[in-house]
Amino acid sequence: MVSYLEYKLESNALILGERIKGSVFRPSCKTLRWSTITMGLRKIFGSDDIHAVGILDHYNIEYFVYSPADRVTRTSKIPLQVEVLTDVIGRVYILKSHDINFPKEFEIYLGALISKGFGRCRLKFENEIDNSEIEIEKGILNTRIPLKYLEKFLIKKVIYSIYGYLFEPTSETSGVYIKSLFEGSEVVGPKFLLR
Amino acid sequence: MKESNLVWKNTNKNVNSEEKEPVPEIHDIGKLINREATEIEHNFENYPGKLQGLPEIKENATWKGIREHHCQLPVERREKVLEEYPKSKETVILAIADSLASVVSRHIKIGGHPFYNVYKLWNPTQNITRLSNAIRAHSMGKEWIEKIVNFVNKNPSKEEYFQEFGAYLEKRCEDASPGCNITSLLTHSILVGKFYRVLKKIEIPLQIDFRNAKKEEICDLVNKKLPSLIKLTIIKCKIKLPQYIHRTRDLNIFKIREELLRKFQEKYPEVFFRTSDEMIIFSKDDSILDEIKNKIKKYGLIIEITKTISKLEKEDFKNNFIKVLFGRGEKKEVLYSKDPEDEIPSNIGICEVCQLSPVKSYDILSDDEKKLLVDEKGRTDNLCESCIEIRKYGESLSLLSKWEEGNVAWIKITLDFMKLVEKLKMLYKEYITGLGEKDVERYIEIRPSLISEFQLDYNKFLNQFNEKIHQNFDGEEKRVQDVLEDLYCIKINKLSEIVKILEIYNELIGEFFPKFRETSQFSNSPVRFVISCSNVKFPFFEHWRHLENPKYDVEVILIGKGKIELELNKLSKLLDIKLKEKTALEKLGNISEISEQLAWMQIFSEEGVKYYPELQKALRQGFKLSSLLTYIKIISD
Repeated sequence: MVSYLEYKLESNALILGERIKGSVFRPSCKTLRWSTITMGLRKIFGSDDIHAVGILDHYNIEYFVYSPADRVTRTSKIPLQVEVLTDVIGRVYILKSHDINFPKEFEIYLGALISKGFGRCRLKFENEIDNSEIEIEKGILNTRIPLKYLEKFLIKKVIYSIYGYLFEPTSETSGVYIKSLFEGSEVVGPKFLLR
Repeated sequence: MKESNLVWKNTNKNVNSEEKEPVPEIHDIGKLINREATEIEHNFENYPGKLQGLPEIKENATWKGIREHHCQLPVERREKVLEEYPKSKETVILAIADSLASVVSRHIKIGGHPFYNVYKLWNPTQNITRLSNAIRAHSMGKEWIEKIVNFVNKNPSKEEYFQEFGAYLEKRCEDASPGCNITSLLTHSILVGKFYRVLKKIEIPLQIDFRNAKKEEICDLVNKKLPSLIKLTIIKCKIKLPQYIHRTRDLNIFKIREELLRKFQEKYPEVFFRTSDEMIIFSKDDSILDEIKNKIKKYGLIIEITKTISKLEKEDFKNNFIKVLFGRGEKKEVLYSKDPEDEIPSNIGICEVCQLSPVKSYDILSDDEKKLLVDEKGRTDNLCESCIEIRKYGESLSLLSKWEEGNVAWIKITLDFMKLVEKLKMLYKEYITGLGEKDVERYIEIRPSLISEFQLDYNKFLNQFNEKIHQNFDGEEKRVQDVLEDLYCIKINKLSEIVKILEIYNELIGEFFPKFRETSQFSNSPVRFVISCSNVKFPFFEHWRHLENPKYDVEVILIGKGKIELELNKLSKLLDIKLKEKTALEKLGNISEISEQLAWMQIFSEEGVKYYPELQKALRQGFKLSSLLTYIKIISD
């Protein structure tokens, strides 16, 4: 029997960087993908048996310009323009695990430029969704989930797939890019994960 | 006269002519002759009628097609029916193709005097009741008829036909019944040609002895039995780009995609409509896509297919066509050039451009390939095999790669097929209502012919835009980089040059699609226009996000500085706003950088009455403050 813990997520400013190399503009992902929230929770609660995804219901887009410094030469590099999601409200769905007692309310840091003050999120428990209560429907997926974990999130069928990769660390220094279903894919799955 | 009629009788039994293919496009050439005045039916079955001294018909397969492309029985239509009917497999197919390509179902004709001109729903004119006036040729004159008969006698090709008569076909509607005159004979002829060639590839169950069959029997076959037996696959095929394109040298992918689609359309008559990224195909099955699926593999493109199988019965066919056009076919799938691997180790890495394939190892790259990966600053890109192939493809955009500094404006014109259908429905309803009909709902149907008619004008509109943009921005220095037929990049010296681009677009909308200006909250323009402006070094993918999916009829984005979002009906009003107080506007611009609300208060303050009366008026007309403030930034530069 699968059940999920639904948390409300609030953040003043969040940068969920897309994987772009060598560009002066850094866009932010507009959904809370499996890798970001799962790795964040695993780090806090110290377990590899955590799986979670999130949906962003509201955000504004603003831009932050900063210039990273070269530590060796002590000079600034070309300024980067970073997309920042502000006044973010979202939902996080954590697959319930009997080994971990998630608190009713906690703080977590997600995304990029945490040292500059971004990424602080407040998670507040809202609801436990039991398997019997989950409405399964056909619709457009609103988050990013690795293919190998689709079953954990009750994705019954993929009708139309948009693929991409999410990063899963395998050690402190390495990891694998795992094939994932991205937002915009058409699936049969839980209503709360659909647009 | 008798002699000519005899020619018909003799040629009906001419076995040789049945063995040759008619040129289906020419089947309606008789509609260029005034039937009321000459009494010559458009299928020439009674040629030369009461007229004398006209050339004789020299029988060929095309004449047979002209004569036999209708299959009318008195029970189907109250008016006098044509006597001739299909008497060979070719003319049976031609009759079915003609019916598929007609603008409306036969049962929805409104009575009244015929209108011979094409009433373009998006750019309407007065209806014309004289054929000669509509086509601007003496349509009942002997010389004209002689020209037509002699032309067909030569057994011309479709190319010769369009060259000789294209201009007249463009002006004459296919069906002159009031309310049906919404597509041209040119569009109809092209579509009949396409449907004919598609149907020829299908095994048609024709077990009939044409020599002994009665007209009723053949009419039943052509109008009822075959349309319910024959099936066509209707396919919408969209070719999508792999994800982020951030280097200008990867823009080759646009050229590759457009060329793939263009060449495919040239090769297959099955392609009925094409834009720079999608096609609508009518085919016997979906095996037609095998070739394109094969070709996209090399470049890592993604193909999105929506399809459905339809009978040829009019209602069925029309509904299925609209379903596919709206992306609601029975089967929808996305095919990747190759299925992405389940896992890619981080030490190999994923391609920095498409992010869908492993990086091709640097060690196995050829020297030429290695050169392609290094940019002007010596940085090396890690790319997959497909993305390297894209860089190998021809020259990249030559002007764009030379521009080192300054601003550029990316321009994209987008046609939204779904919105187009909705808009055409609305405009058709308006037209029929204007003809005095009350029960209009049953008349409203959008068939492939109308979309095709629109596309002819849309292509002209794109050509005109291209011409005017080059005229205005190319001088000694070439400043316009053509990317696609609907995508440009212009080097701009001042932001205020954006106004000129908007003026060109606005002028052409007025010339080609004035009805699209009648927008509302529920009915936006199907043609959308986006300008996205930034420093030349700004990554293209960020522009592309705005250009690819426009949310408003007109959008101007100054990246990081603001945007204009407009309905099309407000564009003229925006361009008419005359702002004189430069210092005050600059001050307002500065205020808006801190707070838009503060700028709003400033406009409606006592000072505002003096300095910003035009802005006050515009805000009352429903303009967004953010759009106006961005417009101020543009014109103040």
